[in-house]
Amino acid sequence: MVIIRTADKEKFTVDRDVAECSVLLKNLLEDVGENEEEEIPVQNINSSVFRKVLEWCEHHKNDPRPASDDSAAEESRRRTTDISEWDQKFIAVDQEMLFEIILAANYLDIKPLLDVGCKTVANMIKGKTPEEIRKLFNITNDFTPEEEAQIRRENEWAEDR
Amino acid sequence: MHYDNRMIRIPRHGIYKLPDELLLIIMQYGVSKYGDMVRLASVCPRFKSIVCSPTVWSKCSLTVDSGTDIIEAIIRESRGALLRASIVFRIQDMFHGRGGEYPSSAYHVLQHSSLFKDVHIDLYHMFSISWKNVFIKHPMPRLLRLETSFVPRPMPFNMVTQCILKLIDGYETQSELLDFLASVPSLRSLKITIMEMEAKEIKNRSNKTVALRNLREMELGVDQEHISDAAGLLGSLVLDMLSSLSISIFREDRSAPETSEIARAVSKFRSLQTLQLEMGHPPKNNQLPDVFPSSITSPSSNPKTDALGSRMQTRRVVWRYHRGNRDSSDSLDVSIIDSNRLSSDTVANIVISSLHICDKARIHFFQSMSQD
Repeated sequence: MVIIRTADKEKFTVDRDVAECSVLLKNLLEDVGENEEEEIPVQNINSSVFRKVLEWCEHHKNDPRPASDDSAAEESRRRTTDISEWDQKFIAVDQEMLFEIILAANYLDIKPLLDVGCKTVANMIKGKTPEEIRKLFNITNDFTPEEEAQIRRENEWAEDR
Repeated sequence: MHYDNRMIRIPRHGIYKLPDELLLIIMQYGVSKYGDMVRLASVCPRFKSIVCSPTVWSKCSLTVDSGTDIIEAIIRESRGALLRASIVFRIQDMFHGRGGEYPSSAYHVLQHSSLFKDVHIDLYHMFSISWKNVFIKHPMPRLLRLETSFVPRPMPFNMVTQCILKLIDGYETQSELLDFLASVPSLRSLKITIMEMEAKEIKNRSNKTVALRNLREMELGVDQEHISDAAGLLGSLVLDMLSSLSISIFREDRSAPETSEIARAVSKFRSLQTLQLEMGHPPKNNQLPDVFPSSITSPSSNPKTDALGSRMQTRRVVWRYHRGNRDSSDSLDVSIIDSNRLSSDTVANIVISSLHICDKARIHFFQSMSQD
């Protein structure tokens, strides 16, 4: 077991197998060695998000770890936006939590979880018009009217190509 | 589209929290054609500046519908990155004068073949014969993934790791198929669908043996008439690393498929961890099919889940057998689709026969909404 302390000072006692889903934690644990008393700080992540990340790691702890130099596997993984049924249920959270999970997965270096988060956002965007995407994510349209008209003129013929 | 160099004020909430490198990953998933680029670039200046990167451009497939202007834009803006290409002609294209032997729209795509990492060629079967040499005429030395509706002529596909062959209504022989597979030595994932093919052609069995030493996952879909051919194909392959095998047997009627030949072929794959069998109807006498050999007992790791989707929507039974590991025993998942449309005796027999093969059987019942 290892002890991990989040940004809001909450402590989590976690199986080493589960923690090692994160490349960052795995490297830190190698530095710490077998000293189970030492707390590992994760400074950028709050306890509510970390709890959610641990839930994912617990479910996927036996999955084969993606090799960093396996471009073929990465290409295959990145080819589709399919998400497994369990992951779909896991990631059915509000937008703020979704983006926090993505940031946490990136910080902790958990590539498969990062993929799940990014694919989820990509699926939310798919097939939507620019206006629908702005509305979905509360994005301000800061194009000038002239720029917008120009983009429309340049690209209206290319919508389905 | 061009890069935008203006200063962009970034609020720190919602999607704005994500740094550019993460938005870039999202956009790589969100873009598969030029129209997607246009939509995303029109959202806001920040999206526009991110989406216009060569990495996202390279996610746009070159297609026969793209037109030369878009193809040239993708080639230019992706700056030498490897690309995806899709050449799909349907029967209706023939009536519009397209899709025959090398139409010009295909040439526009194929002239960039040296940049392809992923190619999908799907043709009405009448065109397939003239396309078998396409990989010889248009070399794709950096190809990683190949999907075709015909068996290509063998050539060194040394980097290809994933291959999908949909051999539907085609004119292939097993010998051609084996020759092709022998030319893809790095293959890790293979999916073959064999349906409605000329019986005399596919029956032309071969005594060749092909070793695919890196193959981990295989999906095989056959209609009832080609079960024996599927068994013949499996019997000709040496698959030392195969860990997951899915077999789908497409059946329109209630006759029982003969699976003993497949069982014999499967039993030699010693590294197999997950074996899935999917059928259109419960088998004859409601007995568990004999493709699950009792010899599958060696240790394994984590079971893989679902491989084949809901291709058959009615009266489908899916058996998924997982080898156990040091922490768990062997297990069998049985999914009975449309269970409310089967007699209670049939369902009971499936359950009992499942428990005969494995102590740990999970039975999933899925009921249809409509009744016969």
